[in-house]
Amino acid sequence: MTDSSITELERRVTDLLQHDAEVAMSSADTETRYDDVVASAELSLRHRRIASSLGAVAVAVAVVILLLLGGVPGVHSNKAVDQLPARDRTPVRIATDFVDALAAYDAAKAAHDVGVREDHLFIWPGEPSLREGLAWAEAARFTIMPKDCIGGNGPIETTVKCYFEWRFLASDHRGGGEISVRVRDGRIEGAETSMDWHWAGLRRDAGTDLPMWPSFVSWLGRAHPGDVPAMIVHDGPTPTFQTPAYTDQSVALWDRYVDEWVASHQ
Amino acid sequence: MPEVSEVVDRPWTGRSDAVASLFRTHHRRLVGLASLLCDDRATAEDIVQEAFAGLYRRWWRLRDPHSSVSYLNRAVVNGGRNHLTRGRRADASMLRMVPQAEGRSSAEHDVLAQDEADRLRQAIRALPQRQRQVLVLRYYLDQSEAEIADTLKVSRGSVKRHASRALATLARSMEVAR
Repeated sequence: MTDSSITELERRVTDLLQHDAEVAMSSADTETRYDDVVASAELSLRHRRIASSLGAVAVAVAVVILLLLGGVPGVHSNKAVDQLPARDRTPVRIATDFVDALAAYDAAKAAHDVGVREDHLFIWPGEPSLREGLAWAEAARFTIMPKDCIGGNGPIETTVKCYFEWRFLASDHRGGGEISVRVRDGRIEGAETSMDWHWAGLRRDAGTDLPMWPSFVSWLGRAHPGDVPAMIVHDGPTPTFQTPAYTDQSVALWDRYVDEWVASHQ
Repeated sequence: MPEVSEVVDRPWTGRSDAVASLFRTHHRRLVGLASLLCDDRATAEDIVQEAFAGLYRRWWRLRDPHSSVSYLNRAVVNGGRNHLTRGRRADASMLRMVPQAEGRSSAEHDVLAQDEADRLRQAIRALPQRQRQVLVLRYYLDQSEAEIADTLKVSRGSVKRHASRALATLARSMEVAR
């Protein structure tokens, strides 16, 4: 076999493969098949219990919803007992309602099925209570868009995974996230959420390579340097994301400045 | 719908937009790839659909959105392999490489050329699966040895060996036919 024969053979192979592929492609229904893809994927997700959380995503930073449980004064007593859910509500329904309440910034409703007092629920590190954490989230235009909740087949205790998309700082860009809600005997006993902060340009490991968060803090540092200490705890002249301040003053500043930042970028 | 370049340069773009854009850009090419690997056009479309569905499901877990095209290529190659493996177990006589000269008439191609093309097609079809994968990736997708090695998760030396053996086999088959 000579080099020239190989070259000629390669040319013929290339022509044949291209031709045959072209014929196959000519009948490919690109315009309408995408809907099938999404339907197939969503169906699969709905029926699939994902064993591990998004912790496998290296760029994700897990934010834990801390639900203080056993040993907390008030557990299974007074208000929580008064609001026991109906037994016929499934774990998926309970988890769905919980996430819907978070999405609506409704701390009282979120606490409805949780075996702890509302003022013992937390989302963000350092927040005094769920109510104040949700107030800050609303001011910072952190929005949750709930999707499906799946799972919940355990006989006594079960985990329901609720998926959602989220936005931050009023951005149109969406990140992905999931909340694992642990339900036992009709009550939420714990929940943990993972959000892919990378997509928002906000990573704690010096993730300043994407524009959303760096853009905002850069603008904030220039436009309102004097207010940064009131908005972000333990921060220096250049804001980084450590812990937001949850005071009424901070929430009001976040509310005002996120609006101002969005307006200045339109 | 954003363009692909916009999607990969703006990785925070929503999943639906990103996957839809990739679908629009790569669907037909991948159907062509799958058809060369699985011998059946309808199955090829199913394989590609499953590849995109897999991408959609795993979108948030992709470490790098730029890797989505590599993911799709790999998923289609693996889908084709799985289909062939199942098909060979079930019924080897079902193997056929699409298309079977559909849409062509003898007026468009002379008989000799058609015979040679069919022989070459048969010879490619008869290659060991890995050799055929290497051949398709090299001459259809125009991938480099390094890219093929990455897609198939084998060494570059292995790619070189498979390509060499495949071409030698094809050359022998064509010479014998003459």
